[in-house]
Amino acid sequence: MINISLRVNGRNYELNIEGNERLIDVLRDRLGFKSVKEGCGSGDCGLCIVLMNGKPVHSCMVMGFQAREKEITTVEHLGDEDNLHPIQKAFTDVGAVQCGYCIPAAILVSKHILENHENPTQNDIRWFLRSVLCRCGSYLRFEKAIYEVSQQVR
Amino acid sequence: MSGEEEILRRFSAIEQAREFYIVGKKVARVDSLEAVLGKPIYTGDLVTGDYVFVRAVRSPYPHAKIKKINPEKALNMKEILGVLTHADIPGENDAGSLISDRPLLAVDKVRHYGEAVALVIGSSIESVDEALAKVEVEYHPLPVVTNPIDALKPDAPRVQERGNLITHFKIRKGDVEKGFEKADIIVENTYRTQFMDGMPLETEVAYAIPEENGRITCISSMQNPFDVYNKVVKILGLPAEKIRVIQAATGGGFGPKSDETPIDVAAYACLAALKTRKPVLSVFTREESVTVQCKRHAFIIENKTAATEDGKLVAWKSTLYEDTGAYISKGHLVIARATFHCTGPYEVPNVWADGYCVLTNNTMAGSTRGFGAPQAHFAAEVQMDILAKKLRMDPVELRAKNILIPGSLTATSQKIDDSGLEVCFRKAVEESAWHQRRREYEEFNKRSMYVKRGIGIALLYHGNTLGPEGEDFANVHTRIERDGTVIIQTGLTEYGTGAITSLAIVTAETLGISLKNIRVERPDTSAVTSAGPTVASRTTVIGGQAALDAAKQLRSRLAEVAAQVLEAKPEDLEFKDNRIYIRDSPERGLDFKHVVEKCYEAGVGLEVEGYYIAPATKWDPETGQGEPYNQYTFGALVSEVEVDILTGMVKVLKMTAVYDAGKVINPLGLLAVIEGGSIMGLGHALTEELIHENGIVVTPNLHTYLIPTTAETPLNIQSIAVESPGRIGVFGAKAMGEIPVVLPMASITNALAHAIGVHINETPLKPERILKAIQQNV
Amino acid sequence: MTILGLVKLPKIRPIIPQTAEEAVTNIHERTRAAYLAGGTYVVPMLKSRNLQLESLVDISGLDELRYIKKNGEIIRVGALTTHAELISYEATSDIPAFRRFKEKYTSPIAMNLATVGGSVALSQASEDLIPILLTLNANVTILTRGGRETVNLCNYLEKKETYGKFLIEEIYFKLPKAPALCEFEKISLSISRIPLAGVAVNLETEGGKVKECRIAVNFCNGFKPGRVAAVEQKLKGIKITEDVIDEVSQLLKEHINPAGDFLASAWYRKEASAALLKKMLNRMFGFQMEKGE
Repeated sequence: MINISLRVNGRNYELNIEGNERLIDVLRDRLGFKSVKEGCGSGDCGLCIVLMNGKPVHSCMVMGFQAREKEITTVEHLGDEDNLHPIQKAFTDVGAVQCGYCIPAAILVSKHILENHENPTQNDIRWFLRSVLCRCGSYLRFEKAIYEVSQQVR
Repeated sequence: MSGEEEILRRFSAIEQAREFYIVGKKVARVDSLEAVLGKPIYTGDLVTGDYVFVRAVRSPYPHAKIKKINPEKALNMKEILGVLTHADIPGENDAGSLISDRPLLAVDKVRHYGEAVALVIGSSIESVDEALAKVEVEYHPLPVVTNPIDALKPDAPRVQERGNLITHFKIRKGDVEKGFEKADIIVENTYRTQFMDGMPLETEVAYAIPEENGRITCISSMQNPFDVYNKVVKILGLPAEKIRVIQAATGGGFGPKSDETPIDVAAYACLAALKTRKPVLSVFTREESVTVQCKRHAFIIENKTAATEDGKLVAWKSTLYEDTGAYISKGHLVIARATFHCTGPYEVPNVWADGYCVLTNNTMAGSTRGFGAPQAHFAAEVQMDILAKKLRMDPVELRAKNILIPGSLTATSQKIDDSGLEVCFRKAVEESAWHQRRREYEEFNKRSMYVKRGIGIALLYHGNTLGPEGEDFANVHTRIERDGTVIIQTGLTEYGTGAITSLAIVTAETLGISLKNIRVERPDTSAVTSAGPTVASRTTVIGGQAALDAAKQLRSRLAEVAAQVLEAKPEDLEFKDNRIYIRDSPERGLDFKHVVEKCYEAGVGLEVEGYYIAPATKWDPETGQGEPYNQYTFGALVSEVEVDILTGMVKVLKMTAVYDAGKVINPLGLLAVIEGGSIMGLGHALTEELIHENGIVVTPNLHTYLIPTTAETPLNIQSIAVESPGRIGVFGAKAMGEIPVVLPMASITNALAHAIGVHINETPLKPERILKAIQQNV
Repeated sequence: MTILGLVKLPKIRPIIPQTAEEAVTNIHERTRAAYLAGGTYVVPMLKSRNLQLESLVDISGLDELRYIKKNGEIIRVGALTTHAELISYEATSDIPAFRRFKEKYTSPIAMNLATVGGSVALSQASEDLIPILLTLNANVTILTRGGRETVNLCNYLEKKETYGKFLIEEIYFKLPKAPALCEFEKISLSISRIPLAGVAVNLETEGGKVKECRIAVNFCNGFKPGRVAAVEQKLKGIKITEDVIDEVSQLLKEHINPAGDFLASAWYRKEASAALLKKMLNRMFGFQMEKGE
């Protein structure tokens, strides 16, 4: 067992974890942040993407002990039913949700795009989102949601 | 006429007049909020506390005798709670979803790579994984057959006890030989399509919880809870009330989650729960899921097509070989749909078709979005393009001369009664600026040496819902709570299509309430009766009718009570904006909630069962002639591509997708389905290939089986819905869930042919295949 | 059976060294141990059971190896610098090869984890950085128990199996004299990290003729990247014309020996590598191949 401390969604945690636990295992199984999904475990599907120190990373490729002293954000931290984050609202409004399984990752990457590009182009959006597979094919809906939020901000 | 009949008559008048209140308006999905908030709604999210794990020991051989299974070394490991083989199954060892040809655990023989041989149960996933390798299975490898044409040879290895030919499906219309004699031109080609995987991003998963009363509740990811329930009851050999199956939110279905593997994963979990009396989690890894879940069938299709010199089709002969893998699953039904649609949406006076469903030692194929239609349309629509080229005719011109219009007879001599195809076709040609684009691209290609562009079209018809594939019924249970909340419960499922939202929309429309007052509950086999399978794009069409039936019953009960309070006739009441009021004096009305309260006070029950069954379809199995489907969806897809002829890399620039949805119930949902299906179909056309090497799956994950990303997505997909009402669907709706995946293979192949001057008859169009075609064509 | 990965990794022991030297000692003291930096290769390999280890030596916290700096014309990159940090560094971000590297990245989010040292350690066709660094004539500093050693990346690729256990500390290279002539091109499908083909070029011209020239491909021999000497020699000292480009792309085809897999055959990889070289050189020297709109 290894002792680590990390901050998740604005709260500090001290944990004893096993050596083989990845960040996704820590987030889902130890801390209950179930929005983080596993679709492959090999960095292909991108459904496990979370923000680590503000940057999107695949939580299935980060070992739990590597996340020591890191700050993690998952979709649970964005908004709640009565107070949706603008990107969550946009996803709902444009009909981006089909099976829903990739949505938490797509929302976090979209948030990252919006925070780093004042006026993201189609190219910017597609470049980042290449890392999130959506088998329902909602890619054009994601694009529209990001575009709509960027217009509101301006 | 009774009051109730009058109310219903008035309501149908509204339907006729199409004064819709919610139907056809842009509304958010009923379940999208949970998704954007990242709520724990999927099976794997619901696991808590102390639970154990079960996994399958799987065959490394595609075909082998099992001589011995020795679990001793695994059983001696700490944390291992048990190893189960076929001998430990308390009920029947039968996991076939429709046909009982498939054991849950292999008995004396394995017939495909990855077939389950034993189950290992343990208290940690790490130890279970280690123990899998310690279950010693002695195999004697057998000869393997991996191609349906080889499998039909008399000396081919037998996959099962029966012969390898499962179904010979026939269409005999007119006199095809005479047709060929009369023809001015005949084209003959062989088409091949690859095995593909529906690849829902959530793999198979089930969580079984034993209860004190001896019942096991199984939460799982699936399309058909009742199929899973019925089989698990049979496998466990328990009384029916001892099993309860609940569908959790399901991270993609696409067909595979209606077939075999959802039964397997649930049965593994329930067997282990029965043995250990502990909650059990059973999850497939990505590799396991891709290996064993049902694929889209690989097809070999030989088409011989004859036409007059002015482009009228006179005869069509098709031979279809369908590789269903080692077990039938839905292969016998898929071959029927593929054969029914083998000519594409054209009127051909003489048709002869033979469809063969064949067993091989490849992994199982079964239901995948489109169910044989993509393969049949690929072969038919590329064939039409090749014919047009031979006739020196624009592909659009040839199609215009032959498409199904009202009064046309299909390959089964079914008379078409609506103009959906004509409208889709015309709109697709106009909206894509077909003629102008085609000229522009031809000019462009003269100037550009290494980059070529092309535009292509393909058309479809798609027999709706189950038709010959089963009893086409649904029921929907609707009740109104005292606080006015309307609760819908059904065995039909949501797995991404948005169709359950359509049931809510139909209900909201009928009761004049807003969508947020409606809650759809998770399918639970202990709470509802079977509503038939959630497949074949039938939830909106058939399930919608059942929802409508339920809502109409509630409407008339509410109307009776409201009429007494308002001192009006029930048939004069209107339901709108959460109010019930007198149509001619809208100020005299009551809140919907208030009327519900009155019903409760008066003891008027607000809980009903809606039911619908589509008329049975009829056709002659010897000739295939008749009316196999109650209605058809039509569509047209224009694709524009750019190809680098030095590398064969192709990019789809734009798609113009026009579909006849009959009546659009949920426009936002339909848009997502059209875009998403087009993108999935693009993957089928360009990158996706489930490769078996001598029966062994060598592309079992997402970095080898390549699905489209944003990088492959066309810059623009123009989605257009036309409405040519169908005979049976709710408010005239037609099936749409599967449809957009049918045409991209054909449409992109035709566009590519326009760019490079040659049609490629085999998918996927990987760069290497394209480059070879270009070099051979020079 | 290998199709069975897991929902979790097998049990493994983490070791967290405080210095680079300690890391090297750790790796020496253990059998079946590997370094863990970005994790983009090692962790999925553990999950798929294609790699079986007892311990992981986690070097990701060694901040001393995480830097990127410019000394005159030399760019020094600490091994733990991520791909994202490399391509956003001012002095390199405008070099076309690095711009392309970014644009063509198949899973861009992985750039935040994947490290430059990790790419060099792996040195497979999947690592687009390798051909680019080869054309920049990069050097690699490795730390062994015996001390530090600097080797040219070319030699490193050939001999890395013979160095025993070592840690990559730094990669350094000279900024190209003519940044516009330092290019990279790649084709790939979907999220596959393994490309269909990739080619990097770095040229210097003088008086209209090629003075210095390095050409490297992702697939040189099997799945190994490498420079293509025959093409480099051919180009040296001559003026680039469309005919020369045709000739050298033909030559490239004859002098590489790529692996085939389920994505593409060796034949295709040769054709495609040649095509990429041809397109790239034409673009760099302003020959219009595409007389489009």
